[in-house]
Amino acid sequence: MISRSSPQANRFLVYFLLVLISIAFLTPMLWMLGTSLKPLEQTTSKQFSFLPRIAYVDIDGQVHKVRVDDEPIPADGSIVEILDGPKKGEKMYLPKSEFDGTYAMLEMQVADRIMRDTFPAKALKEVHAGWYRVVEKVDQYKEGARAWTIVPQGDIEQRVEFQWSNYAEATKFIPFKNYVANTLIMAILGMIGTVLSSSVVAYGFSRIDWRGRDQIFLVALATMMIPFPVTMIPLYGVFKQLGMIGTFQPLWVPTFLGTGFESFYRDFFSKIGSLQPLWLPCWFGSAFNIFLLRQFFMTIPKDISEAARIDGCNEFQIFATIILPLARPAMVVVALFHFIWAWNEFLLPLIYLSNADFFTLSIGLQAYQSRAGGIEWHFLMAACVLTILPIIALFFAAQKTFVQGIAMSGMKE
Amino acid sequence: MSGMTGMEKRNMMKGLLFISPYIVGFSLFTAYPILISVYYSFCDYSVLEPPVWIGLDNYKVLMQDGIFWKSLWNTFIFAAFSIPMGIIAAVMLALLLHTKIKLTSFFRTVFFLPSLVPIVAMSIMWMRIFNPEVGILNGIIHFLTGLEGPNWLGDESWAKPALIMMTLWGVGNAIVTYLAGLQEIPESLIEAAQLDGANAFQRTIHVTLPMLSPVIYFNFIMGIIGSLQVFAQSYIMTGGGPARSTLFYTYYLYQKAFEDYQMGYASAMAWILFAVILVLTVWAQHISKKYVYYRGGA
Repeated sequence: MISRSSPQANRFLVYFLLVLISIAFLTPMLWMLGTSLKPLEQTTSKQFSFLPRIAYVDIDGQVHKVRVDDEPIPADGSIVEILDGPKKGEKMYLPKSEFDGTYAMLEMQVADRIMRDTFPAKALKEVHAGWYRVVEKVDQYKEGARAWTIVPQGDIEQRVEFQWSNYAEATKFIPFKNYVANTLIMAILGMIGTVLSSSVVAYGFSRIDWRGRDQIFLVALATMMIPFPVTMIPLYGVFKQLGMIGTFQPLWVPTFLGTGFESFYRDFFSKIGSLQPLWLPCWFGSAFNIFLLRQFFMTIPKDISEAARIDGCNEFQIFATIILPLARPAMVVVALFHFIWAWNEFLLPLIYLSNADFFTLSIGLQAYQSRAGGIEWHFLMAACVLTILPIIALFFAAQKTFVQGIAMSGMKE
Repeated sequence: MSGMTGMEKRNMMKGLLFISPYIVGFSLFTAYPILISVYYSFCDYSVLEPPVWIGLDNYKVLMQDGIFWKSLWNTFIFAAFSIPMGIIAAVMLALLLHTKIKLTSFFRTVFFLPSLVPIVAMSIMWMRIFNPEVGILNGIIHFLTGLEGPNWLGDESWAKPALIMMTLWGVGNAIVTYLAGLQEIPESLIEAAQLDGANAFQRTIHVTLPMLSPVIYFNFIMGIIGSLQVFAQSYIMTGGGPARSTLFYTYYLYQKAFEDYQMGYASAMAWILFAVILVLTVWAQHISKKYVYYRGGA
């Protein structure tokens, strides 16, 4: 089907498809980025827009940042100022049916009854159906009334303006720093543990010949088939028995270094303790990482070990000084993938963390997203961008390792 | 241990010493939980009180549990669409990327990036995309066709397709494995087919795809294991709704275990999940004999 057309046409078709699909792949992320920079009212606006915009309107000779009502006013009328009565001095919009040029028909609640009465009023501005009400936008609580008016859509100037302050505010609104600290503890402690233990164990499974080795390794591999839901329920009990669930107190606290350090120390170690279910098991090796490292170790020629043995190295020396340095690329892959797994993992912390102080990013975001009441979508999106950013940065910093790692774990035939 | 030479014994001791961390970890975090989970599945166990043996009751009740069947069905539908669609999309994109064009690494990065997005951020982001009023998806549908798009996550018949669509967005990981597979196909093979008069389409069907079949098979197995355990998306985005249309198996299991504290019941569900995964992978293994081509007859 393709062969009949010229190579140039083929190339063009390939480019066309790739660009089209790229747009589809990028759109969700760009939209998230856009939303994270919008003012709150725009995140719930039906007006479809990629870019964050802020509306500006000239009100009484002064240009204000404004919020535009979702719906236009329904009927022609006026903005009037009431000249007498309980609402004296107030400025309001009245449709033609309620204002005849000199008198305004007002509804007022007196005790529990609605009273209708007419009061003298003067027209400030004539307005028409289809115009929009705009209200001055103030960032903080402001004394006194906010400026407002009603203008045709053409008078509203939409300026593209990125609200970068959303990011700073989001990290205050959502206890972001705390979540990041917890996630880093889980990720880094687990990463160190899994790299060290998995390589030690992989060494025992590959560089030493002993009876029963391959059978035991096969059992380890076979248990990888068992889905996590099988073990997650009993694991809860195991962690509880080991004292890993619930509030954790450090065994001793150095009091001689001053109270500032003491509270930091206490806080740090109670975090490490409470996050134990998420990182401690990694210190005993994981079947998959052992498998990956074992594959790598087996490609290293046996002669290297033999030569070292003749030179009088013991097994641990061979492991630490010869094999480990050679296996660095594989260990980097294991470390990287563990870090990303920990950063992304949802179910594990959801089950084993109950105290919000120890929430990781993933369940912290979920907790914020699912809480009752309105969600500040611009903050939530900013928090999501901040969650994704480190992983993307990591990807660009270690692109080769990534591709290598996926190929390594994906090509085991 | 008799019959072993001193050397063999020493090696065995060394080997066991090296794997000892794993033996401890395996016993504590894998073997014991697996065994006790079997026991729990025959018990009434609410955490607060010790487990009480009830024989096969959990399994019997499960067979009568309409929600159990519903969640199993939902999961099957999800897997039945997302796995093949994911494979087709990833293979096609990998083939496109494998053509000798400029900017390949740029496109590869673009396709890969979404698969890096953490599932929670991805879910939150797509919730907003699927929002019927302010979401970009319906915005685009309206812009292109003038029609109002569906209420994706709020509509019983659209919620599953929405989640499948989101899954396809994260297909980049698989693309990289296919690209690695494509790189290993010897140039000479393609050239030979070209000399025999095969056109691009025929070369793809008769040479490239068979050579790629081990990778496809690998992703197929991973797809089965992964999509039967799909959880976070529905937990975050839909809470299993509307009308339980996105209540997937693992989510129902989670509800039973950690919301209703029916640990025995949930354990029985977990073992059924294992059985399902086992049956499906054995089936995949079986059909792979017919379709998967291993070089060197391995």
